[in-house]
Amino acid sequence: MKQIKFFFLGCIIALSANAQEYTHSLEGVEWVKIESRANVTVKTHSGKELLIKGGSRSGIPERAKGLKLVGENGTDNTDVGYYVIKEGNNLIVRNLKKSERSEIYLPASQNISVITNWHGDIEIIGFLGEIEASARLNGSVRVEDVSGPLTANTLNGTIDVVFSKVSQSSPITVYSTNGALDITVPTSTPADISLGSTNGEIYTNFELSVPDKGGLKSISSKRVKGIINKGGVKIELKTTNGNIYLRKK
Amino acid sequence: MLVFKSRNEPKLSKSLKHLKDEELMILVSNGHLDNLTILFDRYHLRIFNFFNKMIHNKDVSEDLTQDVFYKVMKYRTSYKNGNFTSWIYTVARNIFSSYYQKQKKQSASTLDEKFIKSDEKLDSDTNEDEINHLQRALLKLNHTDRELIIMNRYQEIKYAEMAEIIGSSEGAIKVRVHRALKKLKEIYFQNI
Amino acid sequence: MMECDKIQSSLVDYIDNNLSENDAGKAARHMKTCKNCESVLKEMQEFLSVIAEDEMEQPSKNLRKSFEQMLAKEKQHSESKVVKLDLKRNWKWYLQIAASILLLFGSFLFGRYQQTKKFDQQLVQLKNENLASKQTTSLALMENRSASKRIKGIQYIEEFSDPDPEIVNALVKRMQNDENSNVRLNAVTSLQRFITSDTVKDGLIKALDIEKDPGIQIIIIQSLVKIQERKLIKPMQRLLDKEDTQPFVKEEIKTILSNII
Repeated sequence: MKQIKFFFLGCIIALSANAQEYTHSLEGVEWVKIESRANVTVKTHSGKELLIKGGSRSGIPERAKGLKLVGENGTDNTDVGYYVIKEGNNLIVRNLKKSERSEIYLPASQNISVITNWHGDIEIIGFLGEIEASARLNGSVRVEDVSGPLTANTLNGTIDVVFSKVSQSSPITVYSTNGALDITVPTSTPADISLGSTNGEIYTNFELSVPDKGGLKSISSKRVKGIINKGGVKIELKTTNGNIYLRKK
Repeated sequence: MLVFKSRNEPKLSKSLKHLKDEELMILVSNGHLDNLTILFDRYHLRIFNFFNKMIHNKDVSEDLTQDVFYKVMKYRTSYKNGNFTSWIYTVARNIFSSYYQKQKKQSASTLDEKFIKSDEKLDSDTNEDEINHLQRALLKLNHTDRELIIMNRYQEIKYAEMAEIIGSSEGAIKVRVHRALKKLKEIYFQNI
Repeated sequence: MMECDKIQSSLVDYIDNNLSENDAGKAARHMKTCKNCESVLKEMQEFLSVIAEDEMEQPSKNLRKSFEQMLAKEKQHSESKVVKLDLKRNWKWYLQIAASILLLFGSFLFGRYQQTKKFDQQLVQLKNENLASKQTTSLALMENRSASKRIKGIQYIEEFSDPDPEIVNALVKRMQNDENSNVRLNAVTSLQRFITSDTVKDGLIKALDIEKDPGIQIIIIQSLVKIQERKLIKPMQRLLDKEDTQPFVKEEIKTILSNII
């Protein structure tokens, strides 16, 4: 038993020795723009600043002590492998490490934009502000417990979204080339829905009230348009080769 | 002696900043459009906040503010030398009323009902900072009462001017404002 | 108590110093002896000061920008009605004065005529003016820092029956330059309406050379194929040669090229 205790203690010490954090004020920042080649998780916290939790898994190599990490688009100015700089009303947050996952915390009302390349998956949970998420190569996007507006796209990855409420202020667009879309929207949301897939199938449990043009209802698997709850904000889901799943909550 | 507008007319707006609102508006209605910029400088923040306090939505408030100045500009010739503040607020109220009617048609419940129903996460279509307690309480009032409080306490419009804008008597306005304040106070302290 | 009701209804005026000396004195004396009214006063004071401390919000820079654009447009619109003056006082000048007088008189009469227009004619005018205002809004939205708002501005354009060239140019700009692919896609879709214009055609061709998103590439290709635009052939071949072009896009291009040649 004692050995196990010491083992855990040792682990905790090692972990805390490596776990670093970086904070930055969000004063005057309207948008936080995050860029990464690796996975990004953005969650809310009750603080008012940006918080980045540096990974403890891959620590800094012994030989790198005293040297700064450099990347294509900046030099580490945070000691957690990030380049962070304020440009006007935007805070640019760039992950310089090629494979390490980011854990970023922000206040719930912050507007966020996340762009990833390579295999970077995007996970965004719990926000009330506007969200933009682009996984430009193989990454997937998962957005939960948000109210939008949301602008999301992927090339090859799936997009999963669960709205807690849907803001009526401006359109929601979720597009993917090769990935599937799985979107959950509260049942009572007033919205104008447009679902389109070139080669994929479209599934939904909403009863879309489809306006008919001269008595003809459009029933094509390529494009479905309709309104729910007497209409409201535009929600547009499009794919080229993936399926679309639109669910009630 | 007729005055002609020539291409070389100097920009008068900089030297006319000391003029009263009414005087500037008369110039605007006679075709000296640059003076509208001074009026914009003087009023846009107030008008924007009037709308924003009513609906707590910055984007829509900006649109509505833009509409107010658009109307002032387009209907400049109909300005007949009355109190400018009363005039511009009348325009603002009309624009709000059209917006409110449009919203009513588009959604199942009216704006008022929406705000009164939901408690924790207020669906006020905003992407900004958390709504503070006072604003939350304000949004729970019906829009007529809210408007009275915003005009009197926030925009500091006197009862007499309010009577002109709304079309009532000073005495009646006073009573309505007090009643609205009392209601608001109750809501505010109830949930604090 | 009636006295309390009366005092309490005048509390706001009391706090604002709007009561006559007489009434203010009466109220002060009453509150010295009435705990109830005194506490209501304190509550109201605290409450009114919370309201007074509530800060004003700032609008975005777009508001002023939109206003200035709108004003500039209106000035252009009205300046075109004004007579140009040549200050050389020759016979031409006198002629021009005469012409201006006639014009002024004419516009005065016209103004009178305008005021007696029928109600529905005024309505039509109102609608058109709303459209102009909407176009300005649309242009402003397309420059917004939020992608969703830019899309909103683009989708707004669907409502315009006859948008200005300014709008079409803004759409082309969005299609070619916007950093967000959802916005670019909406811009391309919106431009379909104007595809017969050369500006738009050339804009689409240029976009094809720089666009990386395959979904958008396909839409651009398909819209130019529909109008049989031959200038499309070279850029399509270039796409075919690029390594990173998606296979299904290459297939589409091959099919199209085989049908043309």
